[in-house]
Amino acid sequence: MIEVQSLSVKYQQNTILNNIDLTLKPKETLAIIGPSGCGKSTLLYCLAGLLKPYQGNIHIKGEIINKPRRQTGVILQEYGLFPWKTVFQNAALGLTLRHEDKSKIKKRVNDVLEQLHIKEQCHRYPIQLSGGQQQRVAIARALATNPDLLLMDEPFSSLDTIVREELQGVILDLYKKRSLSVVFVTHNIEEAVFLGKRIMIMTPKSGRIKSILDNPCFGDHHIRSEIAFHEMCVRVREELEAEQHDQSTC
Amino acid sequence: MINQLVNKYRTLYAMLMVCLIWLLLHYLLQTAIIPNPIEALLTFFKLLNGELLIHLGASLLRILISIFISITIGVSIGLWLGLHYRYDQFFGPVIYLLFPVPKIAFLPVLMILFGLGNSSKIILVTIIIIFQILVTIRDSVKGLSQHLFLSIQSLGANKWQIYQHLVLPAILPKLYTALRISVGTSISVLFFAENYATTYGIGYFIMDAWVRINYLQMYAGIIAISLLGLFIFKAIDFLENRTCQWAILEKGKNNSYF
Repeated sequence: MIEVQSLSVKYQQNTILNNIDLTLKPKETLAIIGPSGCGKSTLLYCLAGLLKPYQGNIHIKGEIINKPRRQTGVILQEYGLFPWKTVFQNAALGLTLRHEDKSKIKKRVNDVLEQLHIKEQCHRYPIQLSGGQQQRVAIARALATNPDLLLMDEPFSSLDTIVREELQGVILDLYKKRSLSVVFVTHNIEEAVFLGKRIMIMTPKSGRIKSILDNPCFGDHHIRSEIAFHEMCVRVREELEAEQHDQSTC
Repeated sequence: MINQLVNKYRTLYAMLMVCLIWLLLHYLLQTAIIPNPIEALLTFFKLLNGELLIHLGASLLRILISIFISITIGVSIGLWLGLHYRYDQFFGPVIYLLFPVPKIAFLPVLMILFGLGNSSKIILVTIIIIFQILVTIRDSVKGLSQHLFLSIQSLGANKWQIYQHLVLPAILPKLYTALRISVGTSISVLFFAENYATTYGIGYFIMDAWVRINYLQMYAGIIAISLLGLFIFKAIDFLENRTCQWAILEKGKNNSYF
């Protein structure tokens, strides 16, 4: 699905990503976790085709990524909803931009809004919605174009715990129902363990991959109350903190 | 109860209040320069059928043409500078220097260059309000969140679609605000410009009545020019209501903390 070879990104002398290699199989999910400023959002932007000048190769399904890819759905921080568009118009935007015909848009968008339990709000504007509802609209917009890959940049970071876990469940559902690969950036360890089949830990500052863990806890809606889940969280935490410790000693 | 009534008929309420204060001043000061508002209103309605309407029409036409030119040029340049930092670097400082220059002082220059007729007056109003529109638009484009641009790009939008779905709708409420300010400015500038070398326009009408010491007619003119402004304001409100529901919702949400 995704094939990244020796990817490096520099911005004004600073190395943001340094020689990243990464592969992702179809129908897999990958959590990218690391401290602020480690380049995790930059990596996601590269995968989304939103950041052009990079060194190395990014292939998604054999296609070289140097502009946004049709089959990729992207959810950015702060939802990226357009305040002047209603819920329906926001969710339909991807299809509207592709000049799909009206009846097809209507059906597809209504289906996806229904799936995300936000259809009753379809004539309202984003400002009239709660944070969780806005996030649902952002998910609907990304899914309306029927992507095979979903990229999310700290999707739930501004939501409270209850809503966040509810939406993590929504994403897991969607992943199971559609044939979807997911890559998401987070700084929340539990989110990484709940939604990431593999968890990639990045080093602070230097823009490298520290390690990639396989996560046996992935895929179960009720895993949060199990011991194994907490053990996995502790493992990820140790991995993250070990890195910080290395940094401070050198 | 009273709050609701005032809210429902707010324009009417404002008119009543202004007339009341006027009446008060009339009785307090006892001078010919502040006539009875009722008499002034009667004169206004009497004149409205005849010459006053022609003067009002001439002024309205000048304002509308100026606004049209200012929006076309001001919005285009504002968008261009707001979206291209490297050009704004060159033109921004020049605009900043020219903005506060009292362009009204250049009326003699404009009258010599463009004649005594409509052109010099329209150009004067235009070069004054174009800055307000240009600067507002440029700054509001600059203030747009980077996330919105990235979001729409990730959905595969081309350059024209970015304008259509992101930039233009985003600046529209700001444009209405800039327009309201511009209309106020353009009326006062035009009033000044119409004092010179013209026989049509509400500014001429008022000054002419003053010179003839016909205060009732002078006030009829002032009422006319005020109503003209009110009419344009209401038209802008109407357009905003039709096209920017979302912005009105946003405004409502940030209202009355106290």
